[in-house]
Amino acid sequence: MRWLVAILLVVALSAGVQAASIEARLIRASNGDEQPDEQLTKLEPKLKKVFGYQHYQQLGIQKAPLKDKEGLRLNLGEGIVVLITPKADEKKGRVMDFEMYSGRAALVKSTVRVRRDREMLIKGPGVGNTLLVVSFAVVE
Amino acid sequence: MNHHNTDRVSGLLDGQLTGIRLWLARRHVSVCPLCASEYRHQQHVRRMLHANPPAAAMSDSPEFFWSKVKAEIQRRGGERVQVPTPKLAFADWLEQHQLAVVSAAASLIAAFGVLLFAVVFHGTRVVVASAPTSIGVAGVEQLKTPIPHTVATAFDSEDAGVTVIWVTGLPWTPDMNEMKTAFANLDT
Repeated sequence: MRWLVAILLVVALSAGVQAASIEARLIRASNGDEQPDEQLTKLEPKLKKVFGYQHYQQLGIQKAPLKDKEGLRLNLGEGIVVLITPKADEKKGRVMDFEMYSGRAALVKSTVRVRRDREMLIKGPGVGNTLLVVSFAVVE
Repeated sequence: MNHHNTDRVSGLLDGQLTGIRLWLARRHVSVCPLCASEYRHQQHVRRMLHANPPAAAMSDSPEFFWSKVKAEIQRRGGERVQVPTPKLAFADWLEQHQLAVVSAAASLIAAFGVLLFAVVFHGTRVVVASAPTSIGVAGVEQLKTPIPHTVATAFDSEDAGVTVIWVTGLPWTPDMNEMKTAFANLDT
């Protein structure tokens, strides 16, 4: 019985340690009259406050587990690719290298400290009357 | 008597001066308008006092009265007496605590200055392309925009509760296909 409890504890702990993953989305902001995107229910109020557009549509989403110093390539669609390399897990958040590409062109290269309770938004290029936005967050 | 001396005028009126000093004083008062005026004033006061003696005369001599007061003080030596405290108006309080008021005002102004500084300089942080940012601000340590003529700015939007990297200067395209083509041809 003791062994069973110990094994369960170890499994639960290791699952907890490995549970952190990165979630990145490609979003198109516009001023159309479309229905709100249900996938962005939680994020939409924040997007509105920052970018001011009325409607937000999720074009792509990728989620991958974070492994120490192992680079992740997240293809968000429409030619937008995000490369993430975790560097350190600190008390204040996870430090990681973040690169955003459109085709061969690197739009942003950055080293960021992502807090667990905070999304990061990247204002991308304007397309017609719309704007491309990339969001990413650490999900435990 | 070269100077205007009120004591000498008093002495003249009281009949304390004699001889040459009396003569000199009388001569000075007769030629000096200031001392003549003082002489007339003191003379008037003396006449008034003489004509109006104190209404209530003391029954005891001053020495006897003081001995009675002293005896009363000694008798009540250990007795506690409640002294009424005057009620201060706000203006009186301010006058009494000038230093405290000035210190409080200075502290308030300093605190306001610090607050203003914090709001102005920590609200947003502009990061020039390719320049490293300081740790802790906007959670962005380094930020580069390899495409020429583009600038990236990192800031915390406390209102929305997010950190934003704002890239400006990226090529605008009319539709998604054009965007893919335009960026595919850009080599960074």
